[in-house]
Amino acid sequence: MFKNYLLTAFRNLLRHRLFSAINIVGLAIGLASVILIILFIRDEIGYDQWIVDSERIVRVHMSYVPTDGEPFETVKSAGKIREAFSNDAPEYVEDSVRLIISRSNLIRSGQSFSEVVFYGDNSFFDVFDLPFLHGDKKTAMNDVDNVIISETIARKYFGRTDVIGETLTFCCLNDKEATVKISAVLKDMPENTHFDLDIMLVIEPSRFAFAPNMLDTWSSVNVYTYFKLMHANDIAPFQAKIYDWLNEKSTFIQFVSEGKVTDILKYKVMSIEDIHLKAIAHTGNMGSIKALGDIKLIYAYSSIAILVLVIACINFMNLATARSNARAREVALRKVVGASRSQVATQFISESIFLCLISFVLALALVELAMPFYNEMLGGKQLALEYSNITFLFLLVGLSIVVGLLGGTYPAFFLSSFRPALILKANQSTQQGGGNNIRTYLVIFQFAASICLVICTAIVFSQTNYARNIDLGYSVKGKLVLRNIAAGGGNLDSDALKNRLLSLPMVTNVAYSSDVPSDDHNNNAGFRRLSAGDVAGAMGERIFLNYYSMDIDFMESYEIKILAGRAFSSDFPSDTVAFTEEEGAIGTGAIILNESAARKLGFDSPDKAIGQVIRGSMARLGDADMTIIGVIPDIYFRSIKFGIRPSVYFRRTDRFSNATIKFTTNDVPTLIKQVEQIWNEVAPMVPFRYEFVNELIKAQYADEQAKYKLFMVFSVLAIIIACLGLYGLASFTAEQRTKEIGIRKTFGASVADIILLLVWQFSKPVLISNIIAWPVAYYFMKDYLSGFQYRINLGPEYFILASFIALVIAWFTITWHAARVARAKPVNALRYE
Amino acid sequence: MLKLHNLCKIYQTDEVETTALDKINIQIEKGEFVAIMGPSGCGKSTLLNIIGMLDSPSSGEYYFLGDEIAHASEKQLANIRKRNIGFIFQSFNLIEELTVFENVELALLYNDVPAKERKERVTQVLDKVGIAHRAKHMPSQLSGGQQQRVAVARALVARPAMILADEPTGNLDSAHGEEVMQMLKTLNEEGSTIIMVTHSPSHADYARRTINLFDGQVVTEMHRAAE
Ligand SMILES: Nc1ncnc2c1ncn2[C@@H]1O[C@H](COP(=O)(O)OP(=O)(O)O)[C@@H](O)[C@H]1O
Ligand SMILES: [Mg+2]
Repeated sequence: MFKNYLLTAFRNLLRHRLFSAINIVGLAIGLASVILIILFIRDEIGYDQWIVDSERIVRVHMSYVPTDGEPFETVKSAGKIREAFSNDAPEYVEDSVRLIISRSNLIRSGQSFSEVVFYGDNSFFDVFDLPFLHGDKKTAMNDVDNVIISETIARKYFGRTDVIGETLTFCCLNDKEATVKISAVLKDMPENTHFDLDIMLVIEPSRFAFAPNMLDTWSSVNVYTYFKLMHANDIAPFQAKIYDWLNEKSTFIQFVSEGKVTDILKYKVMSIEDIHLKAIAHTGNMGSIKALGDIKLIYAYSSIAILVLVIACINFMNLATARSNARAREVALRKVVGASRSQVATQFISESIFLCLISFVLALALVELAMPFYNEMLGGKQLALEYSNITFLFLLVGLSIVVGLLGGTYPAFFLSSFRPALILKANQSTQQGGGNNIRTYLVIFQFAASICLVICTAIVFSQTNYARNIDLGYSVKGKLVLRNIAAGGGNLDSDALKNRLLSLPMVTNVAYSSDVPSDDHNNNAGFRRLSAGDVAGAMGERIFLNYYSMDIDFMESYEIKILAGRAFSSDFPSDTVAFTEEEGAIGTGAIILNESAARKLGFDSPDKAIGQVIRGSMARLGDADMTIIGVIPDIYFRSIKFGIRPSVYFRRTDRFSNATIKFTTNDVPTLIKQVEQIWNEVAPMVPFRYEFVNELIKAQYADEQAKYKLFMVFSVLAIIIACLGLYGLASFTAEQRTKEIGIRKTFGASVADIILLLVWQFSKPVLISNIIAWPVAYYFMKDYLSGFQYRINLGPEYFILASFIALVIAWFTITWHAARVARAKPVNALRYE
Repeated sequence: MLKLHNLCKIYQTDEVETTALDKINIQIEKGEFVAIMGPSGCGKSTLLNIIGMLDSPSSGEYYFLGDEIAHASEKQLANIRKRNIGFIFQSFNLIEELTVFENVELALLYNDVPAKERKERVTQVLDKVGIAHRAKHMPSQLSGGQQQRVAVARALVARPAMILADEPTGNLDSAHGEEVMQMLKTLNEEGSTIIMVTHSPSHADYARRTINLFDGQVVTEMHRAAE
């Protein structure tokens, strides 16, 4: 019996090549898209779950929301938090560890390499039980002079992995050259981890002598703090206990005049399993170690996957029922010879599953083909189809069978319900393929889904484009940033470097600064006007502003417009902020504001700010009264997604991390060579590390863009599948209406009349589908755009455009058939009855 | 009205070549009533289709109202057809999705007749064939005889000079068959040229001339004196 079904199925497949091809290809594209999306989602939601005890390891994130001022949220915490929480809640905390991440230079046979270095408390491996390749977990961090490295680093520096006992030399740790001994080698960590540990040193207070605000502080947030709890369900009580501690025992109480500490300052506990997808919604991505995922994207992708699959299923159902006429006779004959309805239904369902399995095999091939591009688009993921993972493979096979069932059930019951007498009665000339209405509804649904996707894609695209092209307030072209300026332990002669660089003919400007576009250390401090309003001598309100420090020539290098006043200049030595070491003393200097800051401080116009004095209290630096010498537009250092923050800029002369070189040449390789030569002479032991500003800016949006590109790819695929279905349906309908067309032509219809007739038949559902698609797309896109501070208008043009595109594609798909049928001689249509 | 000269039609299918019409020479005058007879497969329908410009000949000449149209384009043919020729088929060939009224209206729709006039003419012609009370019905709700009357109405409504009928009574019982023949006769008397394929000698008697085909060739032509 089954063999017979299979045989009919196979013959049917061959006989109706077009239908089979459309069905199989459409479904294969659908399944391939779904598999790719599943792989991505599986990876995203699986972050950090491989870590032993991941369900009970948490990290605390700080959220500081002053009653007046910009909120400051970060996934980092203050250095003293670990100890405080551990002591306060010993009943929940099994272990804890802090992590500090910075760059350092590794020196190896006369060369130096810039590497990311982790510092951890020696409890690190008790909290994170990571797999070791060599060495002993228990003792690896016992000695301050130990270092633990990853397989990759071992290979990079030694060419092998069994390197225990070998040494590595850094320049510098706490401004001194330091040699440490390798005590263990870690297996390389999978990519789906929220940190990628390569080099691990021990947190030793003396190593951070140069940065006193790193460890021994309540206010500076520079470390990551992890706790390993006793049980996974301790998270909520631990959180509650932390809030109690903040409100009742913490040192922060004294700073809060009214209300509770937690109204303003919170330490929020988050399971490491949630970090990758939920940290952004929790406390933003400030300070995050690796690029974070976004749960919203997961929802969006899942929706697309489901839509694509449904669209593919609908094709299946539509084409199968459309063909029912052609197969009615077969059904009738089977019934005449004694097949029951359920047997006929079983036959059609098996046929459908058979088709799905063929599609599935094709889909696997498509997935394999697409995988390298897909991984690249996702920014270097290492997704792969694991054929060894039997459960996963079964899941996918199961999925295709479910699709086969979904797609096959309706046609099966539809077809099996035919009554043989009716069909075999010879002269039922046009027993019109029933289910016409249902097919129309399904086509409407398909197009509604596709149009919805097109609208969303267009809006997402425009928004991304808008964000990328927004006027940043500075020029990004022809700029090179030298990093590692401060890495040489303070022995780099920055004046010499600047002078020598300026002597290059193609270099027009060199400026040192704390941050360059795309970095943002988010240094905040309180500022207040010395005389505000009418009352002379009355101090203004304290306002939190972001601050950046820089040397002269910064504004000039970035071509930042000065709205009022002037930029920093060497002609005014008083521009430089002079902080004093003395207790209670107040330094002086000059300051430049951005427009938002000027507004926030209460200046009606940029001009009114010039000459006024504000007092800044910077935790690390001290207090200073600074005269406003200039106002600049709001410039965006980070992706505009984060909005603009009121900021101030002041001049200092001490160690900066970055130098921006403004150049005027197209011969960049030569420029780099010359700059590197100067670098190697001025700072021989510091690695030469440079970046282009325009690339830094691009990289800010790259992650987002990659994901949106994918969104587009899947949307386009969905539309292609829908069109494949429409194509098949149109070809079927044209065939089905051949006789009618013949009659119409006999009585005078022209080719154009016939084409119009068919095109209209298919335009109607497409037009109706707009009515469904528009409000749905509007709802989702309104929500999407609300996540951006600077956003495009949600105008009707996107909706009209998408509908138009859908219509044109539909026309394109149908017209070819219509034209072919319309042009045929009417006699051919009338011959066979 | 029309003249065929050495007209041939050869069907070329995969390997076999069928000569459906072999050097046909016929002339038909305006107002004639011609019956075409012959065994099944002798080429009657092919001949009628070519006369009706639903198909084109492989070779030979076809003069319609004086113009040679054997090599005219599909578009030109469609134009001549819709103005001059009405068709009646053995299997009625009504469109199942359209009502009786709409089926008849079809022939006017493509002749750019304004809606109001269309309505009048369709009502009139449905009356004439005695099916007006069924105007809103679907074809499937009618008997064979009624369906064929609708088909006749459709053939008439555009007032063609020539009506082509391919076995119009083939699917009808004898009573209904007679009815249709009476209608054709009346039409002929009103001036329409009628060319009809039939198997029935008694129905052929309605015509003034009978052409017998055999294997694609005209074997005999028989004139009957006007009564
Ligand atoms: N489209 C076609 N392709 C191939 N052969 C055809 C086609 N139409 C008709 N024929 C052949 O031409 C011959 C004449 O057919 P037809 O005109 O339909 O005969 P009749 O109407 O006299 O029964 C037959 O042998 C038929 O098989
Ligand atoms: Mg015939």
